[in-house]
Amino acid sequence: MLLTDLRDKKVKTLDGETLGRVHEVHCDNGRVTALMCGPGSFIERLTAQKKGRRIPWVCVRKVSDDEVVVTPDPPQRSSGSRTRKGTRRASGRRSKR
Amino acid sequence: MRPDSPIKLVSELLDLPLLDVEGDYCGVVDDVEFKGGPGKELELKALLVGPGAYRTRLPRWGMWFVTKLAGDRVARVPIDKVRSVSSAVHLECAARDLGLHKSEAAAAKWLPRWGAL
Amino acid sequence: MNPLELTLGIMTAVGGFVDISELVFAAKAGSKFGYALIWVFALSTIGIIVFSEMCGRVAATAKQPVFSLMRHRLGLKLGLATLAASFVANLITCAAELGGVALVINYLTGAPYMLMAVVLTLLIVLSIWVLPFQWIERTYGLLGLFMITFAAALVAIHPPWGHIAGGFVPQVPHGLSKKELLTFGYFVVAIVSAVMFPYEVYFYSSGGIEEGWGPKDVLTNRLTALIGMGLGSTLAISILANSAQMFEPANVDPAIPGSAALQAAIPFGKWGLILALMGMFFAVAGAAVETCLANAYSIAQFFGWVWGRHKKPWEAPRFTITWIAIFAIALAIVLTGIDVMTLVEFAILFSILVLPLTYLPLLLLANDRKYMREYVNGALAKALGWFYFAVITLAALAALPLYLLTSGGNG
Repeated sequence: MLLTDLRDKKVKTLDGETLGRVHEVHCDNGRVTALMCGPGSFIERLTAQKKGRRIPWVCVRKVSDDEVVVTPDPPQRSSGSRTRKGTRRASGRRSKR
Repeated sequence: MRPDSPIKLVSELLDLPLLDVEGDYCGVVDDVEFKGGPGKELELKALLVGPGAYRTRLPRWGMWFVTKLAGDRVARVPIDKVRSVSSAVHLECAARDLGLHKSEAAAAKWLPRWGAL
Repeated sequence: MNPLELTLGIMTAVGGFVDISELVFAAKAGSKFGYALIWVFALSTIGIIVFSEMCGRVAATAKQPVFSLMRHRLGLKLGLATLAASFVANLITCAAELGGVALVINYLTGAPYMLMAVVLTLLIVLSIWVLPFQWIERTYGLLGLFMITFAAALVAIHPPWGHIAGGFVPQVPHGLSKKELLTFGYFVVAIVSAVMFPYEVYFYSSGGIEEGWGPKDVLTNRLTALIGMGLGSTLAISILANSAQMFEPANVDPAIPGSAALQAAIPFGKWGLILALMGMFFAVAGAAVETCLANAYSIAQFFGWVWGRHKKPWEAPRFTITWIAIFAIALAIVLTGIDVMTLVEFAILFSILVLPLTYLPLLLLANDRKYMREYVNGALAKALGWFYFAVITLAALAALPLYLLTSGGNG
């Protein structure tokens, strides 16, 4: 797969809703982490100030010649994993986050 | 930044010039190749350099002109040969080690090697 | 700072300001509208100083020339369109300069124009082959300073300095007919285009890399842009003011490039004429070198080739073949017999249409802290940059209609 196979592709959910076009691909540690999609106006591209919706790569279901099909919701986290609200400390008390 | 740092591939990598370890220009990042796909991890595999990589980026008539003028070769730069990425992609080896020197070498045959101060 | 470091700015400016288009337009502007267009030169000079300084700073900080980063910003398709458009504009300008240089030698010696075009092109090619970059800019830059003859001529004819000073105030002359007003508008647009020719920033930013500029050279860059462009502007305004003083009262239309040299002949006689023609020769030859190298730089940088005259010609082979080919194509255009003035008009028109595409990525890059770090555009550079971008965009939109309505400024 090539970067240009993803870039500018229409992004649709499994339900057929169009979310925009891929205008950025985020990568970390050599792995693609997310696609950014949205209207991706010409001015936004020129100024590299791209806004839009972040689609984690794990949500991508299919990449075809015309479109990228995604599920809009990330997969459910398994139980016992960290939540954003806070982690249980060894003492059993929640952290302030 | 290093290629294993967080990076935005379209605005921070694509279309950047490549500089080899000797500081010479040796192409532009014309595309990026991944391994993996939907439902699996998608990893950076190589940078693609050369007019052949324009195939997915230009309309058919544009590609016809490019092929007539410059051919359609593509060189692969494995991602582990990339040392850092800033305003250019800095490589860890010389252009000739990756086959990026061929066009310059072919052009050099046409020029005399004298007379310049 | 070594004064010789200013030669990049001087060559860029003298070759950018007093190339064949500028010579003709400055003289025509003075003869048609007196001192009323001085403000356009002054305003445009600030614009080219702003953008030259910016692109020199980008080159020194990001260590990449404008066109490399332009492709990164515009992407392949729009970048290719910009490359193609600027290639055509620079090629036509190069052809006009080669024709201009041949004309000057024709005036000086009477030698046949076409033969001189071939001989001079070969000599210019040889000079770029033999000389390293620093000597190219010093030779053409310093010898182009013979153009100071025109400034000396202006002082010698004791012009009405009050009127000249008044010309710096933005104005539209009173009592112009509709046609004359449109012609005035065309001259405004043409002067903006000629002063801010895109090849100047491509050459200047690549020249900065050739000189090995780094962040420590940010001040050198600023001074070079200011002094170099300031000098070039002074020479162009001298030609306009001379023309206003000498040609306007006599209703002389300096339609041919050689007429400008008469400005130095009137106060200084034969030697004034010779020095003026020598100045024109080196300035226009310098402009031919700049336009050709600017084109070769753009192509090489866009495709990631090895480039630069800091390397021997065979060490940057595709770049070398490119600049030689550009001279060959420009010479072929001259040898079709097309009038130099027609080439000048097309060069001006094509260049103004390309200008917004040239300067917008540069402005965005210089505003980007990721590349520029602490050397990013401050409030003043940002404000001036956007102001001048608006000016050149308006000029680009108005250029073609005004050209057609005024038959290229001929009324």
